[in-house]
Parts: sequence; structure tokens; C-alpha cells
Amino acid sequence: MKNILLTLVLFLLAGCGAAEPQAVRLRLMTHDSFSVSEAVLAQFTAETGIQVEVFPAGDGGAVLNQAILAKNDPLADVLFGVDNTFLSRALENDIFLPYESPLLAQIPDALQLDPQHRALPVDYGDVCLNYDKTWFAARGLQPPQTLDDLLKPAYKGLTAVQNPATSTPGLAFLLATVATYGEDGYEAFWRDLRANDVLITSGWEEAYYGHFTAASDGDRPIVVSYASSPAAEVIFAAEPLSEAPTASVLGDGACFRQIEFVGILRGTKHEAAAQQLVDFMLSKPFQEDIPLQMFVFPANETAVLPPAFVQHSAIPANPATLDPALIAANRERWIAAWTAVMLR
Amino acid sequence: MIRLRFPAKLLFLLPVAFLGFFYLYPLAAILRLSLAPEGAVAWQPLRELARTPYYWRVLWFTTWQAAVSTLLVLLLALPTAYVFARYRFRGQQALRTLSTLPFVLPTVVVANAFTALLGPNGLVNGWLVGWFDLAAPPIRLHHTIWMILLAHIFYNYSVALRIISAFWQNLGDELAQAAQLLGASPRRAFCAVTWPLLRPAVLAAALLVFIFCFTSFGVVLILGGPRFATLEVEIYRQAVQVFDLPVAAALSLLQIGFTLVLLLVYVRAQARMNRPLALRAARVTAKPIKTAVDRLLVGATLALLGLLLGLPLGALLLRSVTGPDGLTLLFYRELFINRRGSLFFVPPGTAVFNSVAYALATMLLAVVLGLLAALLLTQKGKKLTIGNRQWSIVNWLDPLFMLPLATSAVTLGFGFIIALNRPPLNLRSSVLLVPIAHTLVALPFVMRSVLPALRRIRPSLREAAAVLGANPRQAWWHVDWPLIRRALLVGAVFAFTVSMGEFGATLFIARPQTPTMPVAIFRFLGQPGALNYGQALAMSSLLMLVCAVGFAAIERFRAGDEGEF
Amino acid sequence: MLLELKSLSKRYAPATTAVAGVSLAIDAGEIVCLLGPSGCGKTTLLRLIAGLEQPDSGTVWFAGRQVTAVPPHQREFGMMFQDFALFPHKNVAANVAFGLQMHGWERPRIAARVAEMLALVELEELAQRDIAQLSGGEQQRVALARALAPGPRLLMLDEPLGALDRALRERLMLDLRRILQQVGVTAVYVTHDQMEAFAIADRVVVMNGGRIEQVAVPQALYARPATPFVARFLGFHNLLQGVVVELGLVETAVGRFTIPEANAPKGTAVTLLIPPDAAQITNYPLPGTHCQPAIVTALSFRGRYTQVWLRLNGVPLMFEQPTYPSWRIGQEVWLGLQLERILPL
Repeated sequence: MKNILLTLVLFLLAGCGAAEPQAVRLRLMTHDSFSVSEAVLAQFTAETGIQVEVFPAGDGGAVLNQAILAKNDPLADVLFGVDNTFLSRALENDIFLPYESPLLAQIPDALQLDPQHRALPVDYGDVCLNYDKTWFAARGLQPPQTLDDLLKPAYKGLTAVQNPATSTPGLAFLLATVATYGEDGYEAFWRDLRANDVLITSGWEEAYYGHFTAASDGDRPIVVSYASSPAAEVIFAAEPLSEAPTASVLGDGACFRQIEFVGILRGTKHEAAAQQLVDFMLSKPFQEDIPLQMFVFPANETAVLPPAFVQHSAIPANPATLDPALIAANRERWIAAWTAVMLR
Repeated sequence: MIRLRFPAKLLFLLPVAFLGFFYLYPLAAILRLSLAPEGAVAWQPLRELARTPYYWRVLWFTTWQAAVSTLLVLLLALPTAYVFARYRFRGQQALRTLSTLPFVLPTVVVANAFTALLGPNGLVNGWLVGWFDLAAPPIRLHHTIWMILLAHIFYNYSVALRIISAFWQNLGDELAQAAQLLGASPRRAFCAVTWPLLRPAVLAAALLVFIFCFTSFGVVLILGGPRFATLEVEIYRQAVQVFDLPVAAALSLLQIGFTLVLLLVYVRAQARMNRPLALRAARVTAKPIKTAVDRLLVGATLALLGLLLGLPLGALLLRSVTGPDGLTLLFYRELFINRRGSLFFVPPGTAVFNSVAYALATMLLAVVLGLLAALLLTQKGKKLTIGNRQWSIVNWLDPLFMLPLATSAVTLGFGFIIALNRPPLNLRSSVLLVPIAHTLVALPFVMRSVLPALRRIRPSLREAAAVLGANPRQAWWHVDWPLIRRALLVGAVFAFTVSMGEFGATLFIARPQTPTMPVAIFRFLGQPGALNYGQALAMSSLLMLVCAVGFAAIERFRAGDEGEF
Repeated sequence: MLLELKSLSKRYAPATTAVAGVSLAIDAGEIVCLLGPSGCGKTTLLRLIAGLEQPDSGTVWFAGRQVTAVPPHQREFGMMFQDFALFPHKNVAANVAFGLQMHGWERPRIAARVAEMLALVELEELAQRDIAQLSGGEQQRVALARALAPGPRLLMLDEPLGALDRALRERLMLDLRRILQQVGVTAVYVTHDQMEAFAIADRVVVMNGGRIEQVAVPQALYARPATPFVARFLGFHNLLQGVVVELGLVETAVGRFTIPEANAPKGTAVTLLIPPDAAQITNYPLPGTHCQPAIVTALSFRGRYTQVWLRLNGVPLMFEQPTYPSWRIGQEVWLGLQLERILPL
């Protein structure tokens, strides 16, 4: 009996000793628009021995809701893609472990919305109005500079926006108007915009590729898109362009800043490896890869932007922002009010 | 009726188990979590929901737009189905394929094809303004109910066409002719004889189309615009944007319950209508085009198909080869280049491979399970007595198999997350989940295609085979199988299509990085730039091509089938 | 004895009994007809023999072996269905070959047997024809060829002529009898038509309400129906309700008759059958016969004879008279019954 036990213990010990330290495989759950260079991710695996499996799981809201539903038994180790409009939902449901990455030092405080560092900012992008330069030039019309300009008779029937109830940029643009005109004024702005024959679509794709004069057969030369869209128009042109065919309206308060966060999912079995991945996502190689992969701006200030970005897209000096807690508390009410004004 | 031994009966449980594990269980899990998080049902949010007139308006709109869409689809598809069933003409097979292609196209792409055709600056308005010297484009369908109806016809036309024509072509003309000899005018003969005989197939098609339109999401959201909302749209909004699970669950229940009632009515009506009929080989019922009436009928059908389906699809194809300087293959070439070295770059070959692999897996699963389910449903089963009515178990099972079609993708997707997390069903993040989800949607198509064919096989044929020495397996193989093969093929084509078009079901499933063609299209459409849009259209055209090749390959199985049933 | 049924019973729904305790024995080479109105259980009985239905109780024996639980495909019986049940997706030759394939015959043997069978039913030229292109008579013959091809130990025919027109039926009846005798097969034949049964059967089994009423060769059946039901089903009209008043004497509405077989106790109700040809009708009473006056109520010309309907003491009677008489409706005539031909049932 003793012998058997001894053999068993020895066997177990031998078993443990013989096993190689197993290569960690991390799961990164994210939205369908996530992208990264193959080489950059390979570099991370080469340096750390950590394999990363990317799990796309729908749009931003769907990804977060799935993570919340699975919080007792997480689907992944790291989640990327929660933005400031949904941040409070993530934090309230307590799905992230705090991690104070040393790289946070290189990220501006304005982007760090969670003081407990459960959600760490990775990138930001500004939702703003884009206009078709050729269209305005051909008609000798001055492109709009501010939100107020949209209400002028000269711009009647020129603008396309997205429904904030079904579209992320649509919601961001609504928040920009709330931030700019305040609780008392935003409804009036939208009422006037409706009177000025604004077109409302359900999603960005339809607005941009279905109605924007610069990108479709449509008849709307102004559309809600991103500040980086003009750069994308150059990079993804069908023939080489020296100048972007579109430009953004960057006036004060005309843009809303969307910040995307990464977090380590509570319940992960690989917390240390997950921290390494988060560090990597905040580090220069990944951050410098961001602009051309996802067409947003890196959060890390030391990251160098690609030339096309520097040349063709601009960062608004004073974008509109709102406290995530305020957004969480009022999002549905604002959307309902918007719906009442615009669609009823 | 076939007598089966015990192991064979177990086989029948497969589809039931599949439905139980991958549909009922996850659905029950998410409904329980949403409606009764503390164990007892929280009635308050439900009561509030019932008191909100907005949701009743949504239900009303959902219902009537689906009913009108179904009616229009049937009205257009019936004459075409007749022509397809009765005439043989060149290019018929190609047309049949063409009619199914819309089914796989992403809504955004279709919306843009419609805009290119009918939009304010579109082709048709351009012509009209030019010809009639108008000041403004006369056709303004954008964001109107007409656009929703048009798109529903565009998407669902082939469902009705395929199901009805497949049935019709084995229905001889003798009975209608008998009625005419008894003094009925051709019109009355149709109403009194042909129509009742055809009704099972028409009803089956109508049911599928109605459910599709009832749960319409993309079409209503994108083509209808923000002013229109179906239950499905509202469920998505509540579940994803607002994250109000009780409301989403209650609306899901409403959607499922409404459909269930409809299905129960359907199944009972169906049982009354189905009679074994003398089947005729399609070869016998088909006729060549001879008279002027024949030519007119076939010509009108071709024109309708061309106008309704050919034009938007053609516009799409044309767009995909039109660059800034005229015709170009630039967008197709660009598909093969990974300019940004992205991890998510999908070489077209890989996307095609992934899509086809998923589609074949779905087809195999759906055909096997759908056939078993159909066989199960044609067994004379035990009856349950409820009140003073007898309900056969079959009457309940049939609607149950249809329900996944009527269940919002997001509800089921969330259900998967909380239900399929434990072995042996730890499938939440498995590659298998995608074909499983597709199969849930594809199963009803296979069932609805096979059931009418199976039900109209006269029992005496099987008995004759048995008396002649065929064991049940042989009797099935020599009698049932050849008689349902064609219907099964129709189901297989739909299963393949459902998967290729990547229906909603997968949208809310976390899945390993195996990008399919629709996923690739969505990635291109997600970013600005002419090149991205061009590539999205190129990939869409490729998707149509792959589907067309797939259909042709599936239909080849029919070769060597003596009777063409 | 080739086939033996022992107390077979079958009910489909709790309230209805399709077959109730039927026992029957059939010899090798015999052609037996199951005759009866629709719903009498004859088709169910046939399906029980074929194994297409399982009896609730009772057993089926074939060639000394119990076959009750043997599935149909292992019984090596043949069957012709009412709707012929020809496979619509196979041509004539393939239909005939089906049973042979199921029995694992070699190809050349199948071809030879198919040719032989098609020759038997005189359909050689139609071998490659589609089923949909055949006439009713042709379909019937293909079905017969198909059923006979594997050389069944027992052939069952379920109203095989029911779907055909009268002229065709008359001709096919003879063909069928010829072919069945030529092949020498034992056959069970279901029909509701007595003429068909008489023309084809060696023995007729009359069924009613799931039970056997009478089993007899056709001539005996016609001469001596055993029950009022059989008599009525065979087309006899003159059934008289009577009571035994003393041994050998029966009292009816038409009069008292001496019936030697009526040896039941006094007061027993009996039914008497007067065959339609067991009377003479005259304008005046014929001396030396049992004559009674009656009123002519209807006349029906039937070719070689005429049906004369009479009313006697309020009882309607029908007799077949060979010559065309000069009677009118309403006329009083004299009815002379051949008392020795009156049958107790």
C-alpha cells in the first residue's frame, strides 16, 4: 500500500516536472471592426511566448453585453472596444480587473476616464461632420464651419446623420449637440435641423456609401463620419490622390470624442499574461499600428502618426466631451427625446 | 406507415435533441435570466410594456407589413412558378439560380444597389428626368414603406418560386382538365381544382415568407429608415443599445408567441389539406413553347425576373467593375493584396473557403436533421388530449422546428453565451457554433420542402414495395427517396444559401477568426474610401458567383434521376 | 392447407371493429374471394394476411408455420393494390423487376423473367413506357405482372378491377382467371362485386361487420345463401319474416309454409327466402298449385327476363319472368309459388 502511494506521488511529481511551462493562449474579445498588423501581433508573441486568439463578437454594444452576460464564466481574458458611451455599463457591471499599467504615464489624463484603471484608454477618434469638397467648390458655396451653420437655409437638404438609437456615430453626434447646446438647447437644435430637411439613416454605412455625394450616387454633401475619414479617402482611393476629396468640420464643440478602452476580464486564469497584453496594446509598436488599421488616433502621446494622417486629417482643438456617468444616466432619455423630435 | 425497430426510432430523436440543446435550452436560459433573475417572474416591466402603446404600434406595423409583403410575393411568384413548372426553355436553370442570389446579399449592398437604380440620382430617375424633361426626380421611394415592400419581394421571391414550382411540376393537369370538361371555365377550374391542390405548397411558401418579413431587420432598418421599426429591430435596440433584457425578452416572447400561434393554425390547416396525390413526372407535365400565349407567358416571366432581380443585381455587378476611369478589374485585383499587413486581411480564397466550408457543413447537418425531422413528423404518433381536442405530438413538434426562424438573432446569441458554457456543450466559442446556428435557420427550409413531398406519397406505394420483398430500408430507398429527392434538393439549396448569406444568427456569436465572405464585405463597408466600397462590391459579386457555382453543383446531383421528381 | 387464419381480430379505433374473430383455411392452388360491402372488413383481413397490419389477437399460419409477426417483405406474398400502386418514377419493366431485385436475382435472370411476365400479360411492347402514359387496363396488367414476377407463394388482390370501366372489367375478369390458373398461384381476392367473385373464385367468403357470414363455392352460395345478409347482398329481395308455429310449419304474412328444415322450437323467428324464379304468375289461378292473388306494383325490363314487382298482403315481392308479359301496373294477378324451393335462412 505504501509502495503504491509512493509510486503515485513520484509519478505525479515526475509528471509535473516533465511538463514544459505551457505556452499561454490569451483570448482577446473585441468588436468586428478591430484590426491589427500581423507582424505587430507576431512580435508580441515572439517576445512573450503568449499566443493571442482574437474573437470578434459583433458590434461594440453586443460585445460588451455578451461579456456582461458571461461575467461568471468569462468568454475571454481581455476585452477591447468599450467606448466612453458604454463605459459606465461596463464599470457598473464590474467585469474588469483593475490594472495600473506603467504605460498610462504616456497617456493624457483627459483620456483616462476610469480613476481605478479597470478600463484603460487605447485610442480615440472624433466623430464629426464630413463634407464633399468638390461639391461645395463646384457651387461656390462655403462649407459649414460649426453646428449652427447646418441650420442655415443655404444648407437645406444637404446633411445626413445617423439614428442615435441604432448607430454609434449617430449617438456620438447627438452627444456633441447635447454638450454644445446643453440640456435646454439641444432639442431646439434638432428641431431646426429637421426643419432644414436633414436625412436620417439607421447606420453609418448607409449614410456614407448610400447618400454622401463624395462616396455614392446620393445627394447629401454633408455627413456625420469621423475626423479620420478624409485620410481614409486618400489611403483607400481608387487612384492616387494628392488631396483628400472630403474634409471635416472641426469647429469648437462640433465633434464628439470617442475613446476606446481595453480591460482585463474578471475571472481570467491568465491575469499576468493579460497584463502583458494590455501593456503591449498601450506600447508604441501597437499604438503606431492603430491609425492605419482602425482609422483612429493612438492614445499614447509618444506614438508617431503616419504621414497620410498628419497630412489629411486633423484633430479638433476643442472636441465636445461628456462624463461617462452622465452619459450612462441620460443616454436613453436623450435618445427618446431625439426620437420624439425627429421621427414622430 | 413504416414500422421501425428501436435503434431507428432513436435516430428520430436526433433532430429533437438538436433543437432542444441548441434552441430551446439557450432560449429558456436567456428568458429566465431576463424575466426572472431572482427566480420568480418580475411582472412589473412586463405590465409596463403592455401599457406602452408604442410597442403595440410596432407589433401592428410588423404584422401588416409582413402580410402585405407576403401577399405581393405570392402574387408575383405564382405566375412565374406556373411558367417554371410547365414550360421548358433555354436558360431556365440559370434563371432559377439568379432568382436565389438576392438571398445571400448583405442588406447594405442591396440597399445601395437600389439607391443606384431608384435613388434621387439613380439610373431610373436619371432616364425619366432626361426623357420627360422633369425638374425633379419623379421616383421617391427612399425611406418609404414601398421600399420595404420592394426589398422584401426582392429577397423572398425565390422562396415562393422554388417551393411552389417544385410542387407544381409534379401535379398533372388532368384534374383541372376534368373540371373544365365538367363545365368549369379555366378560371373556375383553377380556383376549384388546381388551387386547392396547390395550396399546401403555397401555404408553406407563404408561411416562410411571412416569418421572414415578420422578423425583418436589415431591410426595415436600412431601406425603411429610422421611422419604421419591426419587433426584431426593437429587440435589437433593447438588447444591444439599451441593454434592457426584460423588455428585449418580453418582445422576443411576443414575437415567438405570435409566430407560434400562426404556426399552430398553419399545421392544423395543412393536415386537413394534404392528400396523397398521383404524382406525374416533370417530364410529362412540361410542355414546349408553341403558341403565342406560351410565348407571351414565358416572355412576361422573363421580363418580370429581369426587372425585379436582374436589374439590381446587374447594377451591382456593373458597379464592381467601374472605376474612376471606366471599366476596371482594380477592385478584384485589390482583394488579393494585403496593403496594410493586417491580421484581418482575408484573401478571397480563404473567405470563399470558409464560407463554403460553413455552408457545406450547414447543408449536411440541415439535410440530415431536416429529413429525419420530416420523417418523424409523418409518423402517426401518439395523441395528447387537451380539453376535448386531440392534439397529436406532431402538431406541436412541427411548429417548434420552425420557431428558430422567428427568434431574434440577438436573443438566441445571448442565450448561447449563458447556456452553452459547460461541458459537454461547452461550445460558446467553438467553430461549430456557426454551422449549428445556421442549421437552426436552415432546418425549417429543408422540412418545409420535404414534408409536402413526403406527405403526398401514397402509402400503397410503400406497401407494394414491402409486399414485393423490400425491407423498410429498401422500401425507403427505392420509393420514398426518389420521390422526395427533388424536394430535398430544394431544401439543400436553401440551407446552403442561408449559410452563405450569413444570416443574423451569427452576428451575435463570438467566434474564432474564420472570416467568411459576408464578414469580409462588412469589414470593407466599415471604412471610408472608394477602394473599400469597390472591394465590398467586388466581394459581393464574388459571393454571388460562388453561390451560383454552388447551386449548379448541388443541382448536378439530380442528373441520373430517371423520373425527375 | 396452405393458409390458415385463427380467430383474427383487429380494431382501429376503440369504437369500431374492423375484423372480429375471423377463422379461415385456404388450400394450395385455390382462388378465394372475400366478398362484402365496403366497410365489412375484407380489405383489413387482406392486409392482416399480407402483414401490412398486425392483428390485435389471433394468428396467421402459412404452410404450417406461424407468420403473424413476420413483416410483409419476408412473407414472399404478392399483392395487387386497388390503385395499383405502380411506382411513378419507374417505367413498366422497372416496376416488374422491382420484386426480383429485392429478392436478389441476377440481372440476366431478371431480364428474362420480366420479359416472361410482360408476355404473360401481353404488354411486351410497353416495357420502356412511363407509368403515367399507360391506360387503366394496361396499368392493371402491369400491376399483375409485377405481383406475379417473384413467384409469390400467395397472391392477394385488393379490388383489382374496381378502378376500371364495366366492359374492360368483363374482359379482364376472364383474363385474370386464365392467368391465375395458368400460373397456378393460390390467391385471395377482395371485391364487393358478386359477379366478379363468381367469375373468378373457387370459393367465396362473404363478410359482414368484420365477421364471416358464409363460405361456399359460388354455385352453392347462390343456391343456398346461409343468412339473410348473404341473401340480400347477393341480390335476393323476397325475404319473409316468419315464426315457427309447429315443427316444420312456418307462419308468415304471405301464408303458412311447410318447411321440413324448420325444426326449431315453437315461436322461433325465421327468415324464408323465395328465389325470384320460384313462382309462376298467371291471370287466373292455376289449378293444383298454391295460388294467391297479388297486385302488380312495378315492371322492369332486363333483357332476357323482366322483373315483376308484386304486393301480396302488403309484402313486396319480386319475381323474374322469362317472357314479356302483358301485365299492367295495378293489375291483379295470381301467384303460384314452388313451395319446395322456399328456403329457410
